[in-house]
Amino acid sequence: MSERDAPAVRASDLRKSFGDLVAVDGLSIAVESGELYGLLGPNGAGKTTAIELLTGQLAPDSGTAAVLGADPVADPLAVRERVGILPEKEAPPSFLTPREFFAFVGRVRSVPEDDLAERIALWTDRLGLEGQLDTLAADLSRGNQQKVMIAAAFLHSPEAVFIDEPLANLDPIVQERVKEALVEYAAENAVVLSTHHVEVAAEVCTTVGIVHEGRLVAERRPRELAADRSLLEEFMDAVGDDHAAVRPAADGGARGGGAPEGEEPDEDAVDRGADGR
Amino acid sequence: MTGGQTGGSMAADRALFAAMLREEWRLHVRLFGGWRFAAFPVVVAVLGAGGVAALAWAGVDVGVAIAGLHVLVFVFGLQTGSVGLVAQDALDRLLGEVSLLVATWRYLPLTRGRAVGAFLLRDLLYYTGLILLPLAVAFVPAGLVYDAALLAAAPRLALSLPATFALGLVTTTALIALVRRGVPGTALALGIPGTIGAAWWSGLPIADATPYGLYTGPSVLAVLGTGVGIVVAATVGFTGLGRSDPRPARTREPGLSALADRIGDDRGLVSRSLLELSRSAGGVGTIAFSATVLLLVAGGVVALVGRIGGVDPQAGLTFGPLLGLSAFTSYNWLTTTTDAPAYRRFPLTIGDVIAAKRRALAIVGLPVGTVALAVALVWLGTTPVDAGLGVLLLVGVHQYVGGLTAFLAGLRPNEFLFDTVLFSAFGVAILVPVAPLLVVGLVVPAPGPLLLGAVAATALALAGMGTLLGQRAGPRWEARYRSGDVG
Repeated sequence: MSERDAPAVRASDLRKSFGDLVAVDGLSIAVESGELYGLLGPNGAGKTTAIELLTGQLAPDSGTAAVLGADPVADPLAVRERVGILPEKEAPPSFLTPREFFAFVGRVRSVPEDDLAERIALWTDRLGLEGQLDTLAADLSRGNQQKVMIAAAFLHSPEAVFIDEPLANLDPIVQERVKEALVEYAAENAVVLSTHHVEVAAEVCTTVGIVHEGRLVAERRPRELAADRSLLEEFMDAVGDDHAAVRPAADGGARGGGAPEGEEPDEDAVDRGADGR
Repeated sequence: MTGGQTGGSMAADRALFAAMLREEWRLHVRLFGGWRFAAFPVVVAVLGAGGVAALAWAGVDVGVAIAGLHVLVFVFGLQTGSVGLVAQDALDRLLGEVSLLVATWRYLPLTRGRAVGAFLLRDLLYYTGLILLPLAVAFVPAGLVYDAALLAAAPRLALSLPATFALGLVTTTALIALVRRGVPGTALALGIPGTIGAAWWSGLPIADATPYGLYTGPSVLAVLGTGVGIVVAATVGFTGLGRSDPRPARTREPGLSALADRIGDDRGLVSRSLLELSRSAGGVGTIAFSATVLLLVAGGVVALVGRIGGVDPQAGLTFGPLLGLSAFTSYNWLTTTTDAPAYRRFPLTIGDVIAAKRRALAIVGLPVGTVALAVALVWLGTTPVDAGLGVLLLVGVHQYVGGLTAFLAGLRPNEFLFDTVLFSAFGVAILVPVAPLLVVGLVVPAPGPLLLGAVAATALALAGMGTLLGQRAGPRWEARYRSGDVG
C-alpha cells in the first residue's frame, strides 16, 4: 500500500505495559482522513495511553504504528510536528497569558506570524475567548483554560488531531460549537477522539472503537446501527457486566448514558506508578 | 469562636498534618523506592561521624566546628523556608499536574495560613528526622573513641540543631511576608535583622538567647529567646503567606515574543522559562535569595577556617567555586513550575527543554552569582589574578553543577534531595572536583603560578564536563519519559 493510500492513522497490535499492568493490549485501528474516530471506553481502559503511543509520547513494548506516513516509534518528533494533541486534564502554563501561549505554540510549530494571528482570531471567536487573551492562565476559569488548550491543538492546521475528552468543563453552548468544529474539521482531516461519554461519541463520531482493558473489543459506525440499537447498548454488550451499573433505566429514557457532558472527567490515564510532583 | 469549633479546627489541623506526613512519605517512596529514602539518615549519620572523627583526630577545636554547624543549619533553614513560596503556588494549584494536600484549603474547613503552617511543620519534621538528628548522632562514635565531651554534646545538639533550623525556616517565611506588605514591611524586614546583627556586633550576648544557647548552656534565656523568636516569626510568616487578598484576574502585556526575539530564542523555550520564573511566587528574587544564602554560608566557612587554621583565604579562589554551587538552587527554581509531559505534546524532546533551562540558568544564575562574588571580593579584598580566577571558577563550577544536576535529576532536581543513591552520587560528584579547589583557596597562603594554572585548567575542564553532561541529560531523560518510567 502506498503512503498515499494508507490510512492517516494506523496502529497494528500495539502493546504497552507498566510493570504488571497491561495498559494497551494488542490495539489495532485504522483511521482514514475524513473520519472522526472515537476511542470509547470506561475509565482506565487504556485510551489515553493509546493516544500517547500513537503520538510518540510513549514507546510501545511491541507493535507498529504510522501517523500521516511517519512512524511514532522511530521518529516521534515527525509525528508531533504534523498532528495536534489535546491532552486530558492539562491546563495551559499558569504564568503565561493565552496570547503568549499561542505565540509559544506558533514558534515551536513554526507557524508563520500572519497565519498564526489569523488562526488565533478564528479560534478565539469560535470558542468565545475574547477579552481573555491577556489574562494569566492561572487566573482563567477551568472552562476558559480548556478553550485555550483546544485552540492550541489546532493552531498549525494539522492533518490529524488526537483529542482527549475535549468537552470537559465547557458550557453547553461552547460544547456544541466544539462538536460542530470537530465534525467540520474531520471532513478533510483525521480526528481521533478519546472519550467515555457515549452520547458524545454517538453524536459526532463516524466510527467508534470500543476499548476495554487495553483491547479493542468492538468497532461500530453509529449512523449505521439498527434503529432499535443504541451505541450505549453496543458499548454495554462489548464491555460486559463490569459497567452494568450505568445501564439506562428500564424505561429507556437515556440513549446516551455515561457522565453528563462538561463534567470533570475522571482520570483515564492508567496509573502507572509514575512519579509525582 | 466556640469551644466546639476550636476543637474541630484543631482536629482538622491534626488530620491535615498527619495526611501531609503520609503524603510526603509516599511521594518519596514512590519516587525512589522505600530503602533509598529510608537509608538517607543513615548515610548522613555515617558521613557526619566520619567528619567529626577526622576533626577530633586532627586535634581541631570541635567547639568552633559546632558553632559553624549551627550557622550552616540556620542558613539551611533560611533556604528551606523559601519553600513557603512553593507552598504559595501549590495553594493556588500552579505547580502542574500534581495536586498537593496543601491545596485542600479550598474545599475543606481550613485556612490558607494553617495549610502553609502544616506544610512547613511537615518539612521541619522531615529535615529533623532525615538530617538534623543524624548529625547529632554523628557525634556519638567520636565521643566514644576520642573525647567524652563530644558524647555529651549529642543530646544537646539533638535539641539545638532542630531549633536552629526551625528559626531559620520561620525567619524566611516572616521576611517574605513582611516584604509583601510594601515599603513599611520591607523596612521592618531589613531593620529587625539589622538591629539584631548590630547588637551582636557590639558585643551583646545575643547568641545566648538563640538556639545555639541551647547547646552552649541551656538557660531560661536560651529557651525564652528561641521560643519567642520562633513563635513570633512563625506567626508573622504564616499569617502573611496565608493571606488571600481578593484580586482581579492578572493581565500581562504580551512578553514572550519580544523577549524571544531579543535573546535569539527561536522556539521561545528559554523565554517561556524566564517569564514563568519571573511571574511565579518570589520571582527572580528567589535566585538572588539562594545566592545570598550561599554567600553567607561561604562567609561562615571562611570565618570558621580562618579561626581554625589562622590562614587568610584567597577570596576569589574560595568564593568562586562556592558560589558556583548556586547553579543547583537556581536550576531548581527554574524547574519548579515545569510540567515536563506537557512539553511532549509538541515536537519537542526533553533534551530541548533541558537545554532551554540551562540557557535560562546561564542568563539569570551567572549574573547573580557574579554580583555575589563581587560582594565577597570587595568584602575580603583580592588581587587581579585572584579575582580573575574567581570568575573563571564561578563560571566553570556553575556550568558543571548545572549540567550534573540536569543529568542526574532531569527536570525535577528538588526530588532527589532525599534519594540516598542520587544524593550520594551528586555529593561525590561535587566533592571530588570542588574540595581540592577549596583547599587551595582556604589553606594555601600564596599559591604559585603552577597551582594557579592547574586551578584555571580545572575550571575550564569543569565547564566542559558540565556542557557534556547537560547534552547527555536530554537523551537520557527522553528515554525515561518515553518508556513510561517517569511521566
